[in-house]
Amino acid sequence: MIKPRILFNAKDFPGFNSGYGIIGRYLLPLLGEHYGKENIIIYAPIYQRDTVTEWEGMKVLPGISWDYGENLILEHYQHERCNLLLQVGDAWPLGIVPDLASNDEILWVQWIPVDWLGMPKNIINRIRPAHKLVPFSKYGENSLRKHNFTNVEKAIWIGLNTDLWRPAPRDEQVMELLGFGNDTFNLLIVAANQERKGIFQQLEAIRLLRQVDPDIPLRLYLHTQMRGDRDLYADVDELGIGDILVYPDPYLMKLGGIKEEEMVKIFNCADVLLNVCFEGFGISMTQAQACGVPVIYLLEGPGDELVVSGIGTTPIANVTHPNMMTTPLPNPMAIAQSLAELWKRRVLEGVPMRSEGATQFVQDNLSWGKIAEQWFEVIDKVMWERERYCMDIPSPSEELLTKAGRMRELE
Amino acid sequence: MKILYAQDFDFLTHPGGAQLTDKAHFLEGTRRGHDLKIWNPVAEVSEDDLTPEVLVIASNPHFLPADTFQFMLDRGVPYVWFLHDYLPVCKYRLFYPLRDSCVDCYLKERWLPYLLGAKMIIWLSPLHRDSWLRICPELEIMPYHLSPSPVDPNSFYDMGMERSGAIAVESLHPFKGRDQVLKWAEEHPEVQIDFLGGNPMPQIPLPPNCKDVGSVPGNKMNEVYNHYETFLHLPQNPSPFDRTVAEAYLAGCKIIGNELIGALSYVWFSSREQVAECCRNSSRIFWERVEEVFHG
Repeated sequence: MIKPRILFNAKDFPGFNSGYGIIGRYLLPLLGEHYGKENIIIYAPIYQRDTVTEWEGMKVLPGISWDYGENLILEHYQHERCNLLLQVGDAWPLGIVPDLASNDEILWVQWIPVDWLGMPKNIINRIRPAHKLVPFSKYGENSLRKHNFTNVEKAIWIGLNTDLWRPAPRDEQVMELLGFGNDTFNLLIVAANQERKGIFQQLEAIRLLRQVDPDIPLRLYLHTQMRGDRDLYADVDELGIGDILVYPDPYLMKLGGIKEEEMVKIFNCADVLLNVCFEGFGISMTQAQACGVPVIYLLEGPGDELVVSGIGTTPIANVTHPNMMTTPLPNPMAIAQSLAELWKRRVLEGVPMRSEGATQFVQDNLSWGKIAEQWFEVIDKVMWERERYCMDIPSPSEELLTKAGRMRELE
Repeated sequence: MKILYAQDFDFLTHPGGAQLTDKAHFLEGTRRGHDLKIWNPVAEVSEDDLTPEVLVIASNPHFLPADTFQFMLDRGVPYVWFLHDYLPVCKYRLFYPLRDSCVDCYLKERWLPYLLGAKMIIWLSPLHRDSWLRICPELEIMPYHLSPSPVDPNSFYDMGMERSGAIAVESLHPFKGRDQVLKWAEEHPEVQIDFLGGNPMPQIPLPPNCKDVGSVPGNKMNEVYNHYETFLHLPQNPSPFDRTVAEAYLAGCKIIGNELIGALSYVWFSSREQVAECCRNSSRIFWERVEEVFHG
């Protein structure tokens, strides 16, 4: 079989504390171990703009474009003699890569979140040229199959460091920093400040709950950048929930956020994670489940396949964005009802709700070792196809080279 | 005979070795009184035209899908495969690598039934057929004909000019043996070699005794050959015939080649008289064999 030489392209550098950064951080060393570190070339242009460097023994190439850094992708691919582009990321910003794949200039596999309803034409045209589409979730896989894509592989979930992400007793110092108490109802939101994350609707749900039942001792730690798609300072002010809210130092977030080890402690302090938005995957949901913490999620998207302990909520409406992608909007009333339900259980049990089933599910299914095994299968299959379908101009056999060297002269 | 001659191009106007061959055969066919019609992506043919009374000559038609051959088989339309390279079982055509894995190629799975369904297979040389049989030994049982490229000895002949050095045509293309020919050039620094027919890698410097001399029109080739003592051609893939070898030989050049030249695999390719005779009569014999097969 042809040995893969992979150009790995995610927008974020593997050291960065984002979903894409985390994927690179854990998956790349395993790919390197399996296929040889010299055969993994990293192209993650955000925070890696001007220099060629090395990360964990693998070459990292620079780029100067936002999104996927497509301005250099073909040059990197050709110069490094890669035979596979493994790209991780959204479909909508894809520009040049589908064209390159259509022209057989690259062999392209996309690990892709499907976080839109229906299938707008501009998305179909962007992702059809991929040799393989590997969705983040079974929900995404079903959606693509429903729309007759023939290049869809079985979904591969995003993994988790299952040695790190485990249930742990509450750290009192962290509890205090988060404004949490042992008798309060400690809510956690961990999400980038993007419109699609539904932070405003979730904050509104908290306001509604306070309005309906002011006796519930709510506390909220909102782990995000307060200024982003939304000005959350203004939202919090408007909704009147500033008194129960703690958020991280914005400067700290600008420096790359909080270490995973600290995030584990934070999750273990929470009573519930709110992640009510339309996700391609939703890492925070599996992080919460790894700690046994229940999740309130949206009943559209991969929540149902990832959440063992928690409550799903129905959306209130769908909204179509300027790029023609339609997403469901979370329903603040349904979220508030779910919170009330979980508070009732919390009061009944007298201790924070923790699910052993959720923890076991994560341990059984989401270790990076398991995820990498699934990737090896896909990559090996792609390489087999590369050979089987003669995607490269084959070099002449030894027999031909011997014959080519046998001279014949004719006067 | 009513004949549909299927080819990818309009071979009456399109330049290229295969088109020259098709043009010569087509004109000879009309001279023999056949009702010949060109079938190509522009001059399409309707299903009604495909009847058992019509013979189809499939002359390397890349544009015809397997379904069309299935249709012809179902309807009892007789057809002859006239193979110019290694399509349809090797998508790289002249880059055919003769690897063990070629025997299991998915294209063979798809196309073998339609090759076996032909009335006859025409190859360009013994080497061409042997190389095909390595991928498809199943074709050994098929009626076949070996048809050298038609070359007119009146157009290629020794003009008695003063000669020196060597010429290579299209040899800077990898499948035409770029590596071999440049290696030979380095081993023979005393021989000046002119390369005709383009250089796909102009950024790579050539050895000092090698020169890229561009291209000349086909009707000037005899004069060009006559300036050179030697014609150098060292392909690294099995070339089906290589009409330039026959042309240069008839034009008086000494040939330095290898075992991958189809033309040299003919036993008669040993004297200019025999080459002239066989290449002159190629089209006539082509039609004699086709008529024989069609009339059973």
